[in-house]
Amino acid sequence: VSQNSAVVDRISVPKPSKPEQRPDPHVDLRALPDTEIDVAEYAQTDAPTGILWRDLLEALTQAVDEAARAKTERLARPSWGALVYTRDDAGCFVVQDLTGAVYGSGHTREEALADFESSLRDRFSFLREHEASLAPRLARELRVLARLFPHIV
Amino acid sequence: VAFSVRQVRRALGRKLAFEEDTGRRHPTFYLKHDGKVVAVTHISHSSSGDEMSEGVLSAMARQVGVTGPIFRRAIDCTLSRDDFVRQVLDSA
Repeated sequence: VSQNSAVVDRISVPKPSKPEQRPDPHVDLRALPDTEIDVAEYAQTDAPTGILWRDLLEALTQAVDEAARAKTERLARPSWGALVYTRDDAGCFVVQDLTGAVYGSGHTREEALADFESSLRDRFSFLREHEASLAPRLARELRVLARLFPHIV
Repeated sequence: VAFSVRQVRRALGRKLAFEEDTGRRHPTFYLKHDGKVVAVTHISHSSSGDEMSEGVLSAMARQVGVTGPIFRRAIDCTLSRDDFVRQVLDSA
């Protein structure tokens, strides 16, 4: 019993007297007052190291602008979502959407993707033209494809 | 067994009675049953050579809603049209 007590004493971890301080996730940072900085004052002051504050501000502004432009371009580019690429024994690339409704093929991935896009447009136009007489599976397929590829609709 | 593109086109059109829609960029084939379109597939542009790619055949089978082996049997005439249509309707 005494041996067990000794072991327990050695491995017991005392609780901290003060609870760990963590940022409160419920505090709305947007509600905090803004700190005002006189940019003009910074821009006129040369740092002792030789760095011009106005150059630094300009570089930062440029970086932010470029990041915003890149994000806008990325969002404008059509997304193909999740596609499945396979390559058969003959070396032919086949790309399909997850439902298997549309496929494109080619000797390269790029060729297969370009073929996929034109097949997708064909499929959409066909299903639309025959919408009134589609079996349930194809009617469902039309709805799913429209949700997966809204930029083609 | 590898199929030629011509063989696949002929089987779809003649044996399985798919109708061809020539107004598309890709040759498109569709199957009607009781006035409803129950299956649609197309032949990819890259399948212009003599031999149809295995990957493309499998993709066509998925479009039609049957398994690869069933589609192959339908193309090489070891599966009757009625049995093929039954398989298509099961998924339609």
